[in-house]
Amino acid sequence: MHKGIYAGVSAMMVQQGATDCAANNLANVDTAGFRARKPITKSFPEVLMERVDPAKGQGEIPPWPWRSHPIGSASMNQVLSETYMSTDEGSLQVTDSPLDVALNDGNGFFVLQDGEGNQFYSRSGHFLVNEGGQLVNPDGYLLVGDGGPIEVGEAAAVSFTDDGQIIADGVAVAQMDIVGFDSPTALRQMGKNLLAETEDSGAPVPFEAPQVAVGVLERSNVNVVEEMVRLIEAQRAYEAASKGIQTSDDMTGQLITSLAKP
Amino acid sequence: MIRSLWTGATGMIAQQTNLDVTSNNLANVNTVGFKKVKTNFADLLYQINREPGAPVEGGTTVPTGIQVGLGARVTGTSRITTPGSYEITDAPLDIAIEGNAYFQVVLPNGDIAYSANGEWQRDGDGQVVTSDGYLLEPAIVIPEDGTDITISSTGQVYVTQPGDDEPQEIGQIELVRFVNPAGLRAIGRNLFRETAASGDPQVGNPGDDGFPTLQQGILERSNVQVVEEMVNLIVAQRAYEANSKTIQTADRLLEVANGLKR
Repeated sequence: MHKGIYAGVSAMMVQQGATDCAANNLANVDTAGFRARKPITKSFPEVLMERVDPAKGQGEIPPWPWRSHPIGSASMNQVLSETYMSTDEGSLQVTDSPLDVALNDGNGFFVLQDGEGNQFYSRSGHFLVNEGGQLVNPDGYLLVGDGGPIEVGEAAAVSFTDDGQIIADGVAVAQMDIVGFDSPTALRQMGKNLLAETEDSGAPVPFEAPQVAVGVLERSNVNVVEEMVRLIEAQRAYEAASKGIQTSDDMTGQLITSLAKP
Repeated sequence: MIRSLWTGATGMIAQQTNLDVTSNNLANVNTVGFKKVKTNFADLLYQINREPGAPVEGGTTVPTGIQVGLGARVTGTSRITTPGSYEITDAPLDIAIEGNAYFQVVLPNGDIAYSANGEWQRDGDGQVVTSDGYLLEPAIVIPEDGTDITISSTGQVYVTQPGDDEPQEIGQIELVRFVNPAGLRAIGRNLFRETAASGDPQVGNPGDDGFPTLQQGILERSNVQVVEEMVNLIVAQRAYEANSKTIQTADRLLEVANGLKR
């Protein structure tokens, strides 16, 4: 069928993906340590459009491509090529809670692990002590320090220092692990405020001297204005693409009716 | 249907819970010994439409793939146990705990609950009870003719009776600590029950290792900061509005898609 219809459909699907992306960012506008994802679209490789030469179509059919003349190139389709994680820093909220920590370095991540030792990374610095005396995030993932879960036992007072040590009843029990990545935008977002390394993010590189802010929580880095503009942009682009489809449809309709006339 | 329609809904639902928690904090701004509660959010699942690191032609790989998040959810509500402000009341049975510990209270069914509310009363039999009439555990009975009730910082209760030259010790107030007090279950009336997450109660006398001391004639008010809660209200309202815009946009996209077929 008409190329314009498929071009329009691809554009509409791209805008739908962009809306999904903005929707997730806006839903997480208040999620501590959340990192917004941004869409990148690309056009399909340009294709050469050709016109069939009617004169050469007569009589004996000559071999391809002699029947056609190039009339220029066009890209017919647009696709959502990737979504990447923004590494902008979120705004900071002072909570005064001794177990709320924010990373001073925008490229650092807390290290968390599940019960089976699988490691995850997070920017969300809200921690609690669980019934086993270990530091955990609100979902129960263990905070890692000195290569393993941080144990504070039955300490009455637990707090962090500015250089990431954990102090339980006045005694330093562990040094929190903070890591960076060569390409943090390529981390995989797992949900539950967790990130996982991928082939492209590279392996985690431990920070030598991490700096943290205690009693402070990093909020999400979602920029509401930007997301709202993206929503408007997506809606209008979607509408415009739909007009493209309708126009193609109209043209096809006219073609059919005019050809069908006796 | 469009994912963002539901993604927006998850954000609105999460903010609704946030609003509920904030309003409870504000309702208890004047409740003795109340500890504020904070809502924790996390991102929901991600749909991986294109695997990060997938090979593309030319031997390179996709750096980040297409990961579309599906919204936010409330992962938990955590009780912030920072100290509240202290109010001097000079009432002999007003006791403030100078740290993180709880009194034991006997519920009418005989179970033990825990309370940080230090506003004690004397009932008709001279027993020390909460404002709701629940007995303090271990029980302390103040003799009918007893005067000058004195409570030491380590919890000994002294009373002077007619004919006595010196105050007599009539009881000892005990405190209870939990490894994870944030894991206690709030049952209203300023009372908490232990849970699997809170750990077992550790009973001790005030001033013992790890146990805070007491202050007579002082009440610990709630630790709710009105400014903080008001800002939280504003954030919740705006986040709710932003998510409603997502839904409107998704709805508009569907309307346009429906309009394609004429």
